[in-house]
Amino acid sequence: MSTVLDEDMGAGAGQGAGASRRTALSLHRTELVLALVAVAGFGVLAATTGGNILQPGTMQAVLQFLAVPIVVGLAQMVVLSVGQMNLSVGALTGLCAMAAASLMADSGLTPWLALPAALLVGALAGLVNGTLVVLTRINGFIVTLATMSVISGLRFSINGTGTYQDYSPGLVRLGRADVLGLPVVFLVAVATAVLVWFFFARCVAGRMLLASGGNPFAARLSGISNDRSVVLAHLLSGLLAAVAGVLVVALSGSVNASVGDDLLLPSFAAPIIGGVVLTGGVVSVLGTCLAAFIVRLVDVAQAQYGINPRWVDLVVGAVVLGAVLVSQRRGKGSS
Amino acid sequence: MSVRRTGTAAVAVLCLTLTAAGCSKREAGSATGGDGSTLSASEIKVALVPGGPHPYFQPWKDAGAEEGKELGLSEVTFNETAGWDQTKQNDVLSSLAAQGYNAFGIFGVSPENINSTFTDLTDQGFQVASLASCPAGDENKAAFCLATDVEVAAYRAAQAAIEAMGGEGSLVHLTGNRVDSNTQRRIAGVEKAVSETGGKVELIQTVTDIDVDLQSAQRAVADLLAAKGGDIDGIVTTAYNPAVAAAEGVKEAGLPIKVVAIDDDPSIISGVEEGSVAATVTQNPVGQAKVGTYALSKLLEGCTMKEPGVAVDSGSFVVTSDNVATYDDERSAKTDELMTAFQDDYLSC
Amino acid sequence: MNRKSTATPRGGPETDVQPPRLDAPVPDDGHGPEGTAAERVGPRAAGLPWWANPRVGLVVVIAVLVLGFSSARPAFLDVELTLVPLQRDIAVFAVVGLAQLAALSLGHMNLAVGRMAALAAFSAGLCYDRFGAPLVVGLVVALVVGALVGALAGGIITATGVNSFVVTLALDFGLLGVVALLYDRFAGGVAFSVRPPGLDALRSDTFSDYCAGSVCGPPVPLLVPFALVALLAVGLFFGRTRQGREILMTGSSPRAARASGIPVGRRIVTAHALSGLLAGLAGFMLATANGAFSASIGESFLLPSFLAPVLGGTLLAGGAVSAFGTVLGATLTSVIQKGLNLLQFEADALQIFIGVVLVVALSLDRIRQVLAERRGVRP
Repeated sequence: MSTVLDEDMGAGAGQGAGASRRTALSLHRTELVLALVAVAGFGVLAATTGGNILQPGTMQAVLQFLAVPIVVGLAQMVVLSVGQMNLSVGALTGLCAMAAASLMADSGLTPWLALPAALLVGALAGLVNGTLVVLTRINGFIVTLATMSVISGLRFSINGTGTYQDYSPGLVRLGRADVLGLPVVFLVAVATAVLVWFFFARCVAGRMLLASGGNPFAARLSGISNDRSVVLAHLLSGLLAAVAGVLVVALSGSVNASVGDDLLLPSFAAPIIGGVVLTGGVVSVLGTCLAAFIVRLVDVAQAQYGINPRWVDLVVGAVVLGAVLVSQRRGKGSS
Repeated sequence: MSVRRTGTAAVAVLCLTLTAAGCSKREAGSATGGDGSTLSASEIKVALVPGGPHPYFQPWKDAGAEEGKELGLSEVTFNETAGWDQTKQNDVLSSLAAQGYNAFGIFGVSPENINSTFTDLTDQGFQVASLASCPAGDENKAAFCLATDVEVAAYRAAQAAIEAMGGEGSLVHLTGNRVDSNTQRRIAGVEKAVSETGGKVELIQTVTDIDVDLQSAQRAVADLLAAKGGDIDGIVTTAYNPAVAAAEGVKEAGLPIKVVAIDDDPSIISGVEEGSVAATVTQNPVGQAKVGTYALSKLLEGCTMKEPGVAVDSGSFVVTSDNVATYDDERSAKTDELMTAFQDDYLSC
Repeated sequence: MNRKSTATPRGGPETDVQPPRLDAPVPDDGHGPEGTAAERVGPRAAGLPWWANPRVGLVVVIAVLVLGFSSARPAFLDVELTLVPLQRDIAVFAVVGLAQLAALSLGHMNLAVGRMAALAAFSAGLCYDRFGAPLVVGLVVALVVGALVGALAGGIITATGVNSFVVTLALDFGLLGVVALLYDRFAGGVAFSVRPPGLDALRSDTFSDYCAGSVCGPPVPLLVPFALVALLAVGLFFGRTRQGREILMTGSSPRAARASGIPVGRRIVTAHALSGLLAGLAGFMLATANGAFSASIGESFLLPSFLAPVLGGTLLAGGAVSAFGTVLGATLTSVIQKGLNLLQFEADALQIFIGVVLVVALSLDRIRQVLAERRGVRP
């Protein structure tokens, strides 16, 4: 499920078909290694906890709280594909969650209206990010740093320090339900991932984003508007952050202005461990999802073993570095 | 290397200017307000500055403003923009001072740094009170400290949890930022209550750093219940997001775990009312703001502290479903008692 | 000092040919910045009027803000309560920005900048607490520890070829655990309570407290010279020394640098060591300014560390840095923060306005740049 610039689009860039194919190969290898790490980690956890992790209740908790990291990772991945970053994803996820909860609790809207409205808020914020980047020609990193401040202010202004609860029992019931043992929110996240993969692999617009990210100069020569690519990438990123916000609202049953504060670094960790290149032009939906799963396993391991929290960060650091090291070394050694 | 040479040269020049100036340090003169001079009520502007936005501090806003109106003070403001960053809080305080505020009720972001901030302000003639938390260590550079010791509050919460568990079983503690000395005090308070049971209660896990984001707290609770839900008899939470998450997670899982929370945000009180929270330990933010504002204004009007830096307990109250309707009366009585104590015992006018 | 140090003679602002992009090159991953270096075709700096320099734009924006704030709130010009604390903040965040700039010069990032500061501050605190070391010894220890951790990051990046973003992210997590464990073990909590002699003076005094006869110094905090020395050293290092220029060359194109005989690996280690050293200095300065050596030092460093150099015209892609611009960037953000604080906004409005003012300031700078380019293209 990895996607790189096609030869026909990259040819003008002078990077050549060979380079592009090599990247594709190394990405596949990264995904393979991540899959092996995920399976091995899961196996070790299952064996050492005496099968506890295989209990339906535990599996459900693992997958329920995997949904948001996956979607937020994808939100970051979309902007990485054009060589940009979006620092506002976490705050935006929180803003959309708060907006949805407020519309239901304060304005009495049904979820059928409130959730699309939240998605609209996210898409709009993304559109603003992208437009600002294109109009001001300032690095997206800095623009989204500034808009992150605005967005967290808005997020706080909705309900101050208060927490929304009981906004829609029906929605929360649905959010915590499962189909054949798989949580609904997880299925939504997987469906979103499939859509994103389809967008990059099969849609012209998706190929254009990758072309702009891989080599803007060549993309321009082949008639692609890089500005439009940047705006589209930010818009999609905002929309995906809003999807994550909606998942939070559906899953948790209570939201407040702190939602999203812990999402910034994980949003980068998932795609980067997953093999996405910071310079743009390469995305890996499968890698991002697998990486999010591996990071999730670390949390689960902490709870299962009752690891001293002081050691957890050390472990997380080692796992992040180790995962990247293994996949990159492998990729290099064989090419 | 030319850099090294230039660098050395720069340092040398700096030292030279300092020594060549033959400087002697000027005596620190006491500045505005302060000491001898007294102010009338209409010249007094009080600022109540918590460490950042948090439900606990919300009552400060109205309680402070009300007391200010009653005393005829020029202004009482509430500023929560410090955002849990000591540097920003110092910035907020100096900005307020520049705007003419002359008395400060402060919840310091980091208790180990806050005495320096207090000294800065008192040196310039401002009156300072440490509200809701005392500085780390034995020293308090503010005029007084009016707070529930966070360690005592956590201790009482753990005791309430142990009582709800029937005096034995396994307890889990959920709390906030680990590299914060208030968290360390809370951990110490819970450990103290557990050790007093003489081994009947075991503290099987302390989960930290889950107060940043409600989702992290919910995730941690879900993982914890999935891993050892059957072995846990009680959960004591000493931070806001973990409290909300634990009450909800336990209710959702349908496990017979007793959850004890801290403070009385509406979401927690409603949990006590419906039974998903066994008890909560509430503190007295209204009293802190009210009595703090009163005492600060008296100090500016010329009163002095009989014992500068004294620590006064503002009271803590265990709330269960039995007294959830009446605990606020108990708390108001405590506030009145504090007011009299300041008038009669702590202040000399 | 005021000129932008670049590896190539083309130091002009980026053109509109391509969308602004963030290039954080990965050494040897096949996606290095070879392409981007070639694309960076801008109008030659020489053809532009003097006010085309981004630093001039920043100075103007800062001046406008200072004028605006001080006319709205005269207290903005209060020396003791506003200007002195403001200078202290600028000094600390300028050094934080310079620490990030050292990594950006390579086109790398240092996400562990805050935690390196925390570890350095811990080492200084330990020296004071255990060995009763004098103030300056702790400072030196902090610098050395910072430099060593930075060199470790650089070493891992060179040895493994893994992206600096990932390495320093992992290092950040690792150090977060280490710092907490160390304070727990050696300070029995999260801070050292010790205060070495001179710390209080360094923290609260200004030069106006020191007089020769009746002539006293200016109201400048004693911490400011630290930042000035750091600025001077970094500026000279990248502008005047061979090593510094080789780092910039590596930043703009590792392949070309290697081809021209530059020991790329060693330069990467040097730049990261410099980043760590400056982070250590910032940690020491913040501990001094706030009054305690505690584990929370550096928690708020990460985002400001990028803001200051990038506002000042340092490219995230590497190869071009501006030390003086970094100080202006730190000044701009501190002035905005201080001014909005004086206007006493509520917590939510404050954040919204900080963001809006930043965007407006950046856009104004962009307008200036566009005007300058027009003027430059048609002389």
